[in-house]
Formats: sequence, C-alpha cells, structure tokens
Amino acid sequence: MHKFIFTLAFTGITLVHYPADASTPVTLTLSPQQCVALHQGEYCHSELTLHWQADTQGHYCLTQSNREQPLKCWQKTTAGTLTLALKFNQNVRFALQDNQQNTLASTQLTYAWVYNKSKNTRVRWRMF
Amino acid sequence: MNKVMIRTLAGCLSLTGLISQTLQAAESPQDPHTESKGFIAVGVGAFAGQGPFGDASAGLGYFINGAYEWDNGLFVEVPGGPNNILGSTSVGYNLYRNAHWDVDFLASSAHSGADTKYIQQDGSELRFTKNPTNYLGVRFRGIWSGLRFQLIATPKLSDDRGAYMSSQISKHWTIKNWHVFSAYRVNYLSGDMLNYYYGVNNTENNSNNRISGLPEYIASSGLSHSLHLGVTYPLTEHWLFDASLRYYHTPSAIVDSPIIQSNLARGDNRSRNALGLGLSVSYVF
Repeated sequence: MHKFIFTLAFTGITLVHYPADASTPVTLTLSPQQCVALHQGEYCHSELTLHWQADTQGHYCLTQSNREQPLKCWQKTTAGTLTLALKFNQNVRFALQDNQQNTLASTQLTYAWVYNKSKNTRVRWRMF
Repeated sequence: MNKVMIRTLAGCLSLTGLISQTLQAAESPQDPHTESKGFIAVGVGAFAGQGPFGDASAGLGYFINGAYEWDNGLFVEVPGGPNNILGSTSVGYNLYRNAHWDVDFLASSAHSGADTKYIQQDGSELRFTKNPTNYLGVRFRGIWSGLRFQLIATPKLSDDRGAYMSSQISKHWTIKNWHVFSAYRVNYLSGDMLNYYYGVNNTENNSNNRISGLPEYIASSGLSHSLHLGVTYPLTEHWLFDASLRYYHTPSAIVDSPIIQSNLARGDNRSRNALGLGLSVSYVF
C-alpha cells in the first residue's frame, strides 16, 4: 500500500490521503498540474479542473492556499468537480476538508517559468 | 547569420560553463534563486519568404539563440530564431544600467557577409564575395511608457563604409500565457556601404561588382524600414513556441541597383520588399 501511495505521489497525478479509517479513501485530482510563465514572477493563467471523490457521504469543502474562504462546499455527497480560472505567480495548494476542517486530501498547482528574473536586459529582452 | 560565427560563439558560451540555470520549477515560493545572467536555446523552425535578395522559398532550418553577461559587464549575444529582433551577433561591454535604461559599448555587424549575386541571362549566377560590414558603436536600450526603445549608433563602419544608425521601438502584450509583440525598426544605411554590396563599377581595374552589360551604379544612402509581429508561448519550462511575421521595406538605393533590378526580373517570384513567416520550437537549457 505504501508503495502505491508513493507511486501516485511521485507521478504527481493524484494525491491521496488516507484518514485514520483506511477504508474511506479520498481522492483529489487536479488538471492541469503545472502552469509555465515565460519569465519568473509574471502571472500564469490557468483554467483548472479539480475533482474529488470520497467513499462516504458528508460535508466537504475545497480550499485554496492564501485564501481564507473555501472555494466551494458540498453537502451530503461523495464527489464533486470545480472548474476555475486562476492567475498566480507562485505555487498554489488545494485541499479537501471535512466539516471539522481536517484535510483529507491535497494537491498542488506548480508555478514554473522559463527565464529567471534578471536586471540584465539580455535576459529580460530575450523575447522582444 | 554566419554559421561558423554562431558555432564559435555558442561553443565559447558552452565551454566557459557559464550557461545560466534558467529553468527551474518552483519548489516553494520562498526559494531563493540567483539572478539569471544569460540563457542559451537551440531550435528548429519552418519559414517561408519572398524578397529581392533571393527567390521565393520555404524550408526548414535550425538556430541558436543565446546571451550571457559576466559580472564585469562584458557580454556576448547570439540572437537567432524567428522572433529575434535584437540584431546581429554581438560582443560588448555594459557602460551603464539603471532600472529602465542600458548603455552598451557594442561590436557587431551592420550587414552580413553574404555574397552579392547577379542572375545572368542564361540563369546562372555571378557571385561576388562580400565581407561583412562591422562596427564599434554605442547602443541605448530602455523601457518608457510601456514601450521598448533601442538605438545603435556608430560614426564609422569597417573599411570606411560610412556611418550607421539603427532605431527600434516595440510594444509587448501578455494575453493569458501568450506573449505578443510588435516592433518597428528604421536603419540608416550609408551610401558607401550600399555601394560596396549593390553598386556596379565596370572600370578596368575594379574587381568589385564588375558586370559587363550593366550600367554603372553608385548607390546613395537609404533608410530601411521593417515591421515585425510575433508571439511566444511557453509550452513547458524547456520548450518555447514562436511564430513571427516580418515585413522589410527595401530602400530605393538598393532596389534601384541594376543588379537587384535584373534579379527581380529574372529571379523566381522575387519582390521589391520582403515578407517572411516563421514558426519554430526551441529548447531552452
């Protein structure tokens, strides 16, 4: 089982968290998982789809790092999908929480870039 | 661009081991990263174009695009690819820099060393080997009101081919993750330089552009105008997609040359002004 979890985490396709009760796995998937900006620091735009699934019905909320309010909450359901357009310039973490705000699963949207920040116009002006 | 020169400079960039680590995914937002001092990329592309200097053509090609600046201000630039509008391969020294402006001392070329070709009546080409026209000059680059400016000036080109000046203005937009830009450039080309490449001189002791049957032609100075539209899209941290459309308005001093006039008439789908389309993917190290 540990090998399975490691494999999923390594491939970065799906992050799975097993709460204390191992019989109720929760999955949270994100697509796409990375957004690439041309220059470090500039905003990356991404149309995201988040999908979660749980074995048991309950109250679940999807949260985003650096944001106090949940993105969306669901009542008495076992699955949900959320699509959103996001503009960001650092990694963003999404988490699925239960009604006690325990994190059941999480995943990360990676911010990447091609050219590092530079005062040097030879780099800044690369793309003219 | 001179491929030998490209390879030499690219080799220098590689051998010095100073290729920047420009490609990194963020492990965390707080990760410290050293400031980039350069980059190098290799790419392949497809192009199609028409103009006065060669027959209309389409094909595939490769390019190297790179630049590096050392801590002491010395730099080398090897521009390449469809969306390069920085000019020719250059080496130089940064004289002054602030947040918006750069002043560089620059060694580069105003005209490549490509042969002057004359299409004879039987369709064969008469070629005159031409040296590049190099210069030592000053370059100003800056950003003001969202526009980018570049001015290159030199009082004297190599082999006494006159003065040279190049000015450029460009505007950039970001639409989602697409980078779109337009650039307009005007170059002053001296009569001495144009005469070297496009003049006709049939005097007995002349071996430069001596073409029997053509009238003598002494080129005057001229202004070339070019417009460049381009887009760049980062496919991954390593791969870039570029597309470009270029228009070049050839100065009358070049077009009026009997060599060019004759080539326009005898060449395959040549045109007074040049239009080019390029698509490429490049790998940034």
